[in-house]
Amino acid sequence: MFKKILVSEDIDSISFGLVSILQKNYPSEIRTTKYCDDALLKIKAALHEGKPYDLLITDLSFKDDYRDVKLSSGEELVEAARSEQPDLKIIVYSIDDKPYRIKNLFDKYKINAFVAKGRDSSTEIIEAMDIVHDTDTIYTSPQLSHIARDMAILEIDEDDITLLKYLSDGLTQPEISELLKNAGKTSSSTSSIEKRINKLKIYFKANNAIHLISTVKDMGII
Amino acid sequence: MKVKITIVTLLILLIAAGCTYSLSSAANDNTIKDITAQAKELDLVAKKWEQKKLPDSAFYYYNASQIKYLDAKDYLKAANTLLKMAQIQYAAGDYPGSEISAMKSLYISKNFKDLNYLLNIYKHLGATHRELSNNDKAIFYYEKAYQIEKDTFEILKLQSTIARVYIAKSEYTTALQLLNKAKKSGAIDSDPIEKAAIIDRIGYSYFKQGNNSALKAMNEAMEIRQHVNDINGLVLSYLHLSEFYNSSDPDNAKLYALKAYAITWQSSNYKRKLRSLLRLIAVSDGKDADMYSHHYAILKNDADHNTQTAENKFKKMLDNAARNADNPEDIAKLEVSKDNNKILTLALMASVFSSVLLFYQLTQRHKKERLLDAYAAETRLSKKIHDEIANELYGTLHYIEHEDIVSGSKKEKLIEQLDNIYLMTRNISRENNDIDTGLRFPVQLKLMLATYSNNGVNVIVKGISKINWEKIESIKKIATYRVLQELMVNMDKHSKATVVLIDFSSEKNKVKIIYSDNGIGTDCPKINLKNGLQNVENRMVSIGGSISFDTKSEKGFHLTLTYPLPILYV
Repeated sequence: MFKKILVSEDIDSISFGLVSILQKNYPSEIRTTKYCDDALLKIKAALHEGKPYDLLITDLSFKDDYRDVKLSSGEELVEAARSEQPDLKIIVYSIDDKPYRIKNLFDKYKINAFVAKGRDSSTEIIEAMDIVHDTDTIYTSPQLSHIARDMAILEIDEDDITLLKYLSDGLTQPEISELLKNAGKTSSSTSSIEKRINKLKIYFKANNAIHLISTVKDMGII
Repeated sequence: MKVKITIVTLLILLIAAGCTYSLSSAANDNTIKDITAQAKELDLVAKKWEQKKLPDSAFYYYNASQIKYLDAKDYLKAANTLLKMAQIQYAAGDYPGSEISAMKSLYISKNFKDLNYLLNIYKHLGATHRELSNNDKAIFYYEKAYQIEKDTFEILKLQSTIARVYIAKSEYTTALQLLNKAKKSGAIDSDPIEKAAIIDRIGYSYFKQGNNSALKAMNEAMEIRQHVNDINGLVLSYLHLSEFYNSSDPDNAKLYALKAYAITWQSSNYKRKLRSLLRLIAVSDGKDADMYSHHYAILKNDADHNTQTAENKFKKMLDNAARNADNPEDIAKLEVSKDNNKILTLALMASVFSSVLLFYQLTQRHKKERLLDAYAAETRLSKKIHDEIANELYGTLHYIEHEDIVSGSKKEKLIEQLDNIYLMTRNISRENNDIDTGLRFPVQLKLMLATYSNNGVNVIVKGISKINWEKIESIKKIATYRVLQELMVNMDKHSKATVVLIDFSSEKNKVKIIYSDNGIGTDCPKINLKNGLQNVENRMVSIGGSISFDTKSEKGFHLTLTYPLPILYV
């Protein structure tokens, strides 16, 4: 289990709460800090002493106060800590739930877990620690799990619109295939047209081709 | 700032150049000798301007010089100077003005006898009247010139020109008599352009008379003109041939009309262009005819405007000069200052233009700053809500959950309520958080839209990556993000939609975003505007954009957002 944990969190009540949960569950050495700069110093010092931290739990947002800081956000701390100690496990613990920011944390800063602050965060943080410690898989709070999976972005293009227009004009799939071939489209075979129609049916929640056309007509797409 | 400096330097240079061009002091002695000297000086200045291809300025000085010559009773010089003025007016398309100047000149010429002068003035008056379609008067003056002319080639040219006027009068027999005489002249082979003109006129007259040799002559003329690349002549050849084929071979007629019109673009002659268009309209039908009629109307308007401007310009100059005639010594000064005035006007225009540009840039910058301020305030507040209120609330929630301050069902209720407040503050901060306006903007926008996709709703995106986001200002990106977020929140709360499409596209200078869903829609978009959509409109207006509702379709909710792409300063 984690032997040495660093908590970087500027709100005292949260910090205390978190530490009490951690202490209840693990017999670890736990240090807290309110500033990202201090957190990085602690990580560096521990490395120097040969007793490095093996887990960092950090918030993303820190209040500005009288102190001039070099690292002003959780992202910056994560980035600096990663380059200082690549094998450090990092859990971000934040109320931020913007998908873009979270995705970026996983993709760019290679954090190990993201736990959203909320009613269930006490149990979630324990879960996260267990998973992160035992495996290399990442953890995300269940309410945000759709972000960690590759978020399904439903995108269509001009060719889809052309296809829908042809369909609404009453053209058959072989006829459409012929037209697309003449227009120099690469995906003009009847099977790729079929695939496209199926994709569009799913996107537009249509049960069949007729339903699809009536939906897109109602939406003014064609 | 660099631009501003160059403009200022330019102004100084312009003014300096204007000042150096002033005349040496005008003498006050009224002796004839001095006046003649002044007249000559003015004449020289006029010629200088003419060499510099500034006919307007030359016209000023010729007029001043002409008055001095008259004072000095040098009638020949005065008449010749007036003729020069008439020629300048003719070249600018001011035919009525040119006629008046020429007639003044002719009136003065009663005082002397100079055949060379008479030849020139008659030819000029002939040409002016031809342009004014006074065919009889044109013939009258050309005949007079014809009687004096001694040069064989010039005689041939006059015959051809007179024939041209007879053709315009539809008197083909007389025209042919003259043309055949000209064709027999030995001088004809010295100038292929003139030769082609004569043969073409013969061919055209034959055609009008129903003579079989018409086509042969017209083709011969066309070949000569093609050979020497005589653009002006070729236009006429093509027009005549188009007319020739008009009823017998409409396709050929149209082909020649098109050829004529195409070739007119190689010269700046409005008249030929208009004539070719008239021919094209005559041989076209349907959409083509409409299009050419449209071209004709535009061109005719331009041509009329140009002529009118030329007429007004010269008339004004003459009027001003006449007003100052009581004070002849001042004329020279006046004219000089006039040219200085011109330069000053130019300078003034340049400075006005540059200050307008500067003002525009400043207001744009100010607007930008205001918008960025608003955005900064928003972000700051949301960070405060996030950092302070939400976190404190969460801390309290945490504390109550783990300490035994309250107990039982009351504790559960309190925690639930606190949790609700916590979620609310979190939503506020989420909706107003900072936006990455850099390279990852489109990805971020896509992800934001995708978060509203769930089991109930499919949010479909089209064309986000087709937009050149790098070129678009941060303010506009922020507004785009916020507006779409607002629309998604609205959709989530009210629309009951199951499918939403956001279609991004960019037209010439605009970004266009179409939102459409299949929800319950709204009967009256105005009511809707009062609520959440007012924000959307405000944001669009603040970046110079607009919002429009599609009320045509009965189902769902559709609206279009547009805003301009950045203007590039060159």
